[in-house]
Amino acid sequence: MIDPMDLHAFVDGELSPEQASSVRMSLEGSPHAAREVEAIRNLKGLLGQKTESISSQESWQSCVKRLDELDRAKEGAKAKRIESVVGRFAPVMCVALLACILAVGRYSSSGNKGIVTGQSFSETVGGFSQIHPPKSAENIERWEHNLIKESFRSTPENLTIRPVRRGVVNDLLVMEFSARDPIGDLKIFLIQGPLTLEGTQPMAGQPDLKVGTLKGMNCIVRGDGQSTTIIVADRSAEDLAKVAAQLKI
Amino acid sequence: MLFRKRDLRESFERQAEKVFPSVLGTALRLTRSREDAEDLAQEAIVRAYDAYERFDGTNFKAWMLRIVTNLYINRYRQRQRGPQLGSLEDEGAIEPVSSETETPDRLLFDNAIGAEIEEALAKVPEDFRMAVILSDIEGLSYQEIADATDVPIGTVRSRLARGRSILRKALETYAIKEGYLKQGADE
Repeated sequence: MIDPMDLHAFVDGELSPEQASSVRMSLEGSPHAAREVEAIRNLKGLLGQKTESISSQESWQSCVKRLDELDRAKEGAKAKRIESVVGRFAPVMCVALLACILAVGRYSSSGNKGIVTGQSFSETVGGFSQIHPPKSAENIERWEHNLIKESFRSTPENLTIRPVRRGVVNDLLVMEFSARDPIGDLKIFLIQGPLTLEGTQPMAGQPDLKVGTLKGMNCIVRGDGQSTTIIVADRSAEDLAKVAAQLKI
Repeated sequence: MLFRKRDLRESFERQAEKVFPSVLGTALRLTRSREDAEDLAQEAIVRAYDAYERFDGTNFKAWMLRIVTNLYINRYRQRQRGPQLGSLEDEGAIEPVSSETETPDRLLFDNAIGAEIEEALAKVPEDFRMAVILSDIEGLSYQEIADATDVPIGTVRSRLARGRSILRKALETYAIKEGYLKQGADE
C-alpha cells in the first residue's frame, strides 16, 4: 500500500531517487495507484497551463509610483535627520567653520610666498636691524663698495648709495639702501628673489616696471625673476623710472 | 552612496517586474477580489523593496510569494469571520484525486477553460488553495511553500493532497453542471 501523499510527492519530484524508484515499482503492481498518479499529473498540468493570465501592467505602474514615493519619503526623512543634526550642533559647527577659515587664511597667506602688501613690507623692513659698518673709514668705504658692487654691479655717477639694513621678507633676503641724487633722497630695496608688491600696476610705456605706493610715497618695482628692486621716493613715478634706468641691477 | 541606492532600485525593479504577474495572480487567487489583490500585491512590493538589502539572492520569486502570502495571512485572515475549513483538519484522511466513477480526464479537462478552473479553485478552502496555487501554478518546492506559509513540510504535503482532491471534485461538479460531463460517465 502506497501512502497517497507519496504519490503527490512523486509527481511533484519531491522524493529522493530511492523513494521515487520504490514508488515507480509499486505503481507497476497497482493500477489504482497508477491511475491516481495520472490524475494528479493531469490536474497539475491543467493548473499550470489553463489558469488565466492576470493583466498586471497597470497595477505594476502603480507599484513603481509607490516605490518613487517611498524613495522620496526616505530622502525627505534623511534630509530632516541632517537638519536636526545641523540644528543641534550649529554653534559647534560655526566655530569649527570659523577655525577652518582662519587656518586656511593663515595657510594661504604663508603659502603666497612671493606676494606681500605694501604695509606688511614696510612694517617688516622697519623692523630690520641696522647694519653696523666697520669702524675705520677705509674699511667702511671698502665694505660699502663691496656691498653695492654685489648688489648693483656698478654705481651710477649721479647716485650715491649706502646700505642701511638687511632682513628677510617672506623668506626672501631684502637689503635696504639709502640713496641720494640731485633731486633728493630715495630708498632702494634689493630683494634676492621674485616678490610682488600688492597694489602695484604695470607702468604705461615701461613694460618691465610696475608702479605703486609704499608708506604714502610713489614706488617703482622692477623684477627679472631672480631678484626684485623697489625704489621709493617722494617724487613722480616718471622720475623714479629715470632713477631705475640709471641702475644696472 | 547615491549610485548604490540607484543600482539597488534598478535591480529590484528589474526582478520585481518579472515576477509581478505571479505576485498579483497569487494575491487575486487568495483574496478573490481584484481591488484587495492589487492592494496586497502593491504592499508586498513596497515591503520587499524595503527589505531588499536583506534578500539572500537565491530565489526572488519564492521570496516575493512568501511576502505576499504572509501579508495575506496576517492582514486578511484576521478580518475573516468563522472557522477556516482548510485549517480544521490538516491531518484528516487523504482522498484520492482520481474519480471513483473513473471520469476520464479528457472529458473533464479538455473542455475546461481558465475561468472555470479559477472558479473551481476558489471553492477550495484557503489553506489547501494556498498550497495548490504555490505548487501547481507558481512552481514552488515543498520547502519554499513551507517557508511561505510557515508550516512544516508534512503539512504542505497533506494540504496539497487534499487541495488537489477537492479541486478535482469541484471541476467534476462544474463539468456536470455545464453538461459536458454526465454524472457517472464512463470512458
